[in-house]
Amino acid sequence: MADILQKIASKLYEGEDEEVAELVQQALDSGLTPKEILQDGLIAGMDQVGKDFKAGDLFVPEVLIAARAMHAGMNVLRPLLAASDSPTVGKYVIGTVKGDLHDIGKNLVKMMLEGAGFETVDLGTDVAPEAFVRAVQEHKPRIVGMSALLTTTMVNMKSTIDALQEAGLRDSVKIMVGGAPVTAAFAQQIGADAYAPDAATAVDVARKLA
Amino acid sequence: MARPGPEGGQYRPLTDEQVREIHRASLAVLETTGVLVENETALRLYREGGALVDGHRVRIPPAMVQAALKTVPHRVLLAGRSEADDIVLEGRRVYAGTGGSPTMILDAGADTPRPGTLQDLAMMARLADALAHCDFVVAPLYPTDVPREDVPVNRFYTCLRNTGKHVMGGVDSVAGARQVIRLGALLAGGEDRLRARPFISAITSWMVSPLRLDTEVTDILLEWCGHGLPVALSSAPMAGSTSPVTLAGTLVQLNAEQLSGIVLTQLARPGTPVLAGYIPGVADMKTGGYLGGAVEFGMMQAAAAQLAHFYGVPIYGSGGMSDAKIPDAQAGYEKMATFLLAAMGGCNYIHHAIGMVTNMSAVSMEQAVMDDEIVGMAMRVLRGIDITEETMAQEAIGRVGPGGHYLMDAHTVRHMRREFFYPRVADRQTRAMWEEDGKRDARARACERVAAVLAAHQPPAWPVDVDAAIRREFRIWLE
Repeated sequence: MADILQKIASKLYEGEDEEVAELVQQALDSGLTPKEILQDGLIAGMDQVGKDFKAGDLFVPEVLIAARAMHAGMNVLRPLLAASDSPTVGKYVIGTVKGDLHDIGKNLVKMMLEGAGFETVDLGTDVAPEAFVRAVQEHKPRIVGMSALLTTTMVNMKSTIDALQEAGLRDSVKIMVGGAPVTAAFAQQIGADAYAPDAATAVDVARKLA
Repeated sequence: MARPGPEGGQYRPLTDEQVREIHRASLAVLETTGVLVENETALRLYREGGALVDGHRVRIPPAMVQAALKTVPHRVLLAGRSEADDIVLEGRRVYAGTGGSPTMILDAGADTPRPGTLQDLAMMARLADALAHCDFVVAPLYPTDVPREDVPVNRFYTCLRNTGKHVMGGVDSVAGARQVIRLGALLAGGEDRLRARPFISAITSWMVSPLRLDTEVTDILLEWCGHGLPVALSSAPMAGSTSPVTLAGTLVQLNAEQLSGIVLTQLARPGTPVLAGYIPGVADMKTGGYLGGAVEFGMMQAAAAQLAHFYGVPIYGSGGMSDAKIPDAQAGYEKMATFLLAAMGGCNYIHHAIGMVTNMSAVSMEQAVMDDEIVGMAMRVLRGIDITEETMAQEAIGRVGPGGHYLMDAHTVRHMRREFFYPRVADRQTRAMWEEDGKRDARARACERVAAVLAAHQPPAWPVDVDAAIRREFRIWLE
């Protein structure tokens, strides 16, 4: 019994998404509960990934493929999990701000967040303030994350915060910002709640905010 | 399996025709100007070998050079204590290690060096053993707390005890040479076995440029050659004071000096494994002092490697020296320039590459850790850009497509660890994280890494029974 959980954890660590999904199904068939599979299989594997990534032994691509495998396993489990067992730490709306088409950093943050159990709503790139407002109204996320690569577009982070304020939604969400030209001081200046310098830190920061 | 030793030769400051021009000029210097030899044994060897001897002046005809180049080995094994640490000097393979015999050591973070001890040497050798890009250990310190006559054997003993990598060093005297060879024979289980897998070798700075043999060191050289063990000839002129100011003139003279040495070793014992030791320094025209960090040093070192390749003789050279007094920015750029040029020149055995500060006058452990990184970067350059169907990644490009990303592609995961050099000291964090970590510069980070490496690393096991035999025979000062 414990063997299959260990196998799920180690296949997740290796990023084998299809195998993880199959193993999760096998574990269910053998009578293990969804909660056990989640805690001692998927989350155990992801914790090891997190540890080794922090220690510098794993690289970003390996974390991402492990997160993908986590996702594959979750797709099998999710319909069976009781609401209280769900690993979702919160909804996260994310996007690159208006005028900016750069998305690799935003995608990286999104994938890392998903690996950590966040449910993400990706608005893509060149996202206008109004689009952020609509998404907050529709999805009611805990956190909104904004990305910008250009010094000319990072000002649109402020416009978005202002738009949320005007719509009366500002206090319903926490706002995180990031991207190459963004600094902690800038984040504070425009009235964001938090800043993260890279994708891994973004996950830590988001966990605290959620 | 020997250590990798990637191929250099990408930087060739001389054309093939220029190599031949320098060769012809060096032969002419040997035939017309000759060398000054006051050592009686060497004088006799040269005379019997066909040189024109006029008093102490020895003029060497080209035929003698050609004959020596026929017997000198083209491939030299410098063994480690285990085969995994062997280095094989041949062709354009490049290896790097520690060097010099400074008497001073710069403590962690210090700006003034202090006299070095045998214990410092032990620590330095242990650090060199741990550093991934350090291929060999040239005794990196001359201990000042050991009686002079005991230094040679204690230096080799201390290095051998703390590293499994090949150990090379100066031996001070003929008696020192005999002691060091005896030490090696005790460890190897006989001198024949030491010859078969020589894990020690000697540096002999037998040449006092320009063109004059040091009588005492020549005795050491001849003693060492007599045992058939590998020896590095070393001549280290300074362009502008002890060799011509022009790079070409220094190369002609240095090449003549090396050829005269190769001739002598092959007269003493044909087939003696020799490393041609071209060390082309520069004189500071503003003071007359020595410059090790000059960019011209690196250029000449690469040109010297071309000459050695032309003769098919392994080359012992220098790279990674600096005139800076502490491990600072100047040390960084001078070391990278001189080391990279020597390595890209295909210099087989680059000493002084790891741990030196202020040229050959002091050693520093944090500098060694930073230098290990410089060597690692340069070796990555030598490894080059691998072009295959797999590495050109057409399939991955198609799979990812326009607007996608490669971060999760199998091709990325397959190649990311080998394709890039990953530094251990360089800071690649964001500014915010760097600030949070205490705004430490490279030197401070390197100090931390020295402590971590020394705490974790153990050198290979040391034979207890042989140790007792060594201590019965020699005064060993290391605890």
